[in-house]
Amino acid sequence: VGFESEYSVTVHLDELLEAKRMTLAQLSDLADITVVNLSILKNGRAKAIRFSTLAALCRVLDCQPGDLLTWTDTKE
Amino acid sequence: VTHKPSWTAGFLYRLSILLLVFTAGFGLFVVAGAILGFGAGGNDVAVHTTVDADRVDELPPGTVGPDTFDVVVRVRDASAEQLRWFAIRDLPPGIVVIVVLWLIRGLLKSVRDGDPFVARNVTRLRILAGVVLIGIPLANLLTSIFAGELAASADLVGPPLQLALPGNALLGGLAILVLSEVFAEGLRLRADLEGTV
Repeated sequence: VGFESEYSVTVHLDELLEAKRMTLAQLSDLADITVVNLSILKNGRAKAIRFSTLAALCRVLDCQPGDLLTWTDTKE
Repeated sequence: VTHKPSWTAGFLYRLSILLLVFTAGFGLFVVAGAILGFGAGGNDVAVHTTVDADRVDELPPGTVGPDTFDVVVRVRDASAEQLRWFAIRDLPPGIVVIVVLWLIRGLLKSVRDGDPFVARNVTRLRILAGVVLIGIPLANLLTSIFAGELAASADLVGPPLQLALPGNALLGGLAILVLSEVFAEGLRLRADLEGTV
């Protein structure tokens, strides 16, 4: 379970990091993304994500964008 | 802030403070004059009034002019009441100028500090537009009312009431309103950018 953003999009960074037994700092080094930006993403405070960021995360975590992000219809 | 503020921004900021202090000082002088009626019995006041065109001599033959002319009558040894109206008459435009300068000072300060795209500046620009669109016509109306009272105190006919929105105020106010919306949009874009990872 990740943090849900204001747009009902949940980022599953915690679960993927746990599955890969990786820390945020290691991910930051490998994906060349700052820890600050990763924290924003992890805590659901991001408003948008660049394709370059998404691609770097997928490459390092060996996953698909759909594994990283899910959308839930909160209107129901 | 990642860059040094421009020399122009710093200069304009200091200039706005200087103008604000000067205008506020002048305003205080006017208010003191209105309250104390200083100089009564020894001062002259300029009273705006109108005279019928047929009372104006030596106009060139064939002159096509208005029915009345605006003239200024100098009243010598004005009474305390006349001095008070004379001082109060110039207050409304003074207040408008002080409010405008105060808002401009705030805007320039944010530019000087390298952070102009903030919610406060959107509010400042909206207030500025309101002052230009509503404050200036209102100040003109009040000035004409006070000028009428001054003229009446000297047994003269005052100038007509000014109940109009000057074209330059309308255009200027609308331009500032558009600018405030540009700033509001800039603010939204900035929030989006800061939330992009």
